[in-house]
Amino acid sequence: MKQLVIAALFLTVGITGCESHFYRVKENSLHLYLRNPEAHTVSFAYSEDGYQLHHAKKIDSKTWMVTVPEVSEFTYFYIVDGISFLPSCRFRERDDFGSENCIFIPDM
Amino acid sequence: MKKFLIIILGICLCSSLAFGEEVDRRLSTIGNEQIRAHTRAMINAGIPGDEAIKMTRLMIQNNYKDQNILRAQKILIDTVEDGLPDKPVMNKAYEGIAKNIQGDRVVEAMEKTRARYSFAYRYARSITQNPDRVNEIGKTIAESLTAGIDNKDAHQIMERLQNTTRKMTGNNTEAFAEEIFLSLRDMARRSVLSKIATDVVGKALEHQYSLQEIKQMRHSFVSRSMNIDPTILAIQYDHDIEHGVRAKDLNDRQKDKSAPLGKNSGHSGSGSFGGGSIGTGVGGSSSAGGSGSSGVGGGGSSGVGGGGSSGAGGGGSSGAGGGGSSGTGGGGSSGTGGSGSGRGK
Repeated sequence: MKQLVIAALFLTVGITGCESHFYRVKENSLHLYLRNPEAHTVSFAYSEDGYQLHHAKKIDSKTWMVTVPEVSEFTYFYIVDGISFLPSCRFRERDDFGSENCIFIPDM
Repeated sequence: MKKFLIIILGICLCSSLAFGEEVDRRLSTIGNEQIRAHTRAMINAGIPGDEAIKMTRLMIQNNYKDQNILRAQKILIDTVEDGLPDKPVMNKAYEGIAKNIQGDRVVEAMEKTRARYSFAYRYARSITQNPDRVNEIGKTIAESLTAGIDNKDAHQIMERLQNTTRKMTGNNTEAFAEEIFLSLRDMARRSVLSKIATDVVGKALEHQYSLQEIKQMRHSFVSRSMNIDPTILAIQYDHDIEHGVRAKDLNDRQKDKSAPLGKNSGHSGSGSFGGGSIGTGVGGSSSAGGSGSSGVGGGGSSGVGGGGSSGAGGGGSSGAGGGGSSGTGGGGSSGTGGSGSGRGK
C-alpha cells in the first residue's frame, strides 16, 4: 500500500511538474509567477524588448514574480541560476538553438 | 523652391554625416575599423542606427569573434536588402546573447531565421503584391514554421492552396491563405506535430472548406484545445473532416467525445500554463519534460512530450500513436485557463 502511495505521488509530481507557472493581469501590467523554491536567481526575458533580462523578485519561499507592461503576444523564457529555463506553458515555438520558447497570448 | 530643396538636402547630408560620426564615436572605443564600416553599412541598408549599434556593441561585450560579428551584420544587411523584416533576425541575436549561447551558434540561428522569413515571404509574394499584405501573410507563414511546421509540409499546403484559390478573387485568396497558415500555426504552437496539423488542413482543403469554414474550424480548435489534448483533437478533426463532417458540426462532434483535461473556469484575467517543463542547457541540448493525461472517448491517455525524441501517444477511441523526433514537452493534467481574480475580459 505504502509503495502504491509513493508511486502515485511520483506520478503526480511527474505529471504536474515540480514548478508551476501562472500569470495575472492587473492595471495594465502583466505579473508572471514562477514557483521554483530551489532557485537562487531568476530572470525573465521576452521578445517585446529584445530579450533584455528582467530580474524576478522572490515574493515568498517558493515563488518568483516579474512584472512587465501588458502588451500583445510575445515569446519568452527564464534564466534560472544562469541557465536558460522553460517553464510549463501551453504555447511554444522552436528557438533555433535546439530548444523552445514559451509564447504568451493575451486572454488565452 | 530651389533654395528650399538645397537647404533640405544640406540638412539630410549633415545629419547623415553626423550619424556616421555618432557611429564612430559610440563604437570607437570597442570595435575595429572593419566592424565600424559594417555597422555603417547596416545603417545605410535601412537598419535603425540605434539597433545596429546596440547589437554590435552587445556582441563585442560578449566576446564574439570579429568573424561572427561581421557574419551577423552581413545576415542583417541581406535580410533588409531582400525586403524581409530585420526585427526577428535581430531579436534572434539578442535571444542568443540572453541565453549565453556561443557566438557561432547564434549566427547560425540568425541565418535560420532569415531563411525562414525568406521562404515565408516568397510564398506570401506569390499570393499578393500588396506590401502590407505580404508582411502580414509572410509573418503568419513564418510564425507557423517557427512553431514547428516543416518547410516540406508548408510547401505541400501551398501547392494545394494554389489549386483551391485559382478561381478566387485577390482579396479572398489572401484571406484564405492567411487563415490556412493561422490554423497550422495555432495547432503547431499547441505541440501538434507538423504532419498531423498539415493533414487536418489538407483534408479541409480537399473537402472544399470555405474561408468561413476554415475560420470556424480554427476557432473551434483553439477553444476546444483548452480542455482536450490538442494532438488528440487534431487527429479527431482529421478523421471527422475525412468523413465529410463540415466545420459547423466539428464542435458538436467533439463535445460528444471529449472529457476535460483539466479545470478551466472561464476567463478572468489570470491563468496557468499547463503542465510539463523543459530545462534548456546552455550547450543546446534540451530535455523536454512533462507528460499529460487526458481521457478521450471515455478512457485512454496520452502523453505528449517526454525526452527530446518523443512523439504523441494515442489513446481513447480515436487516438493514433505518433512519433518523430520533434516531440515537445507540454500538455499535462494541471489544466489551463483562468481562474481567480484579475482583469475581466
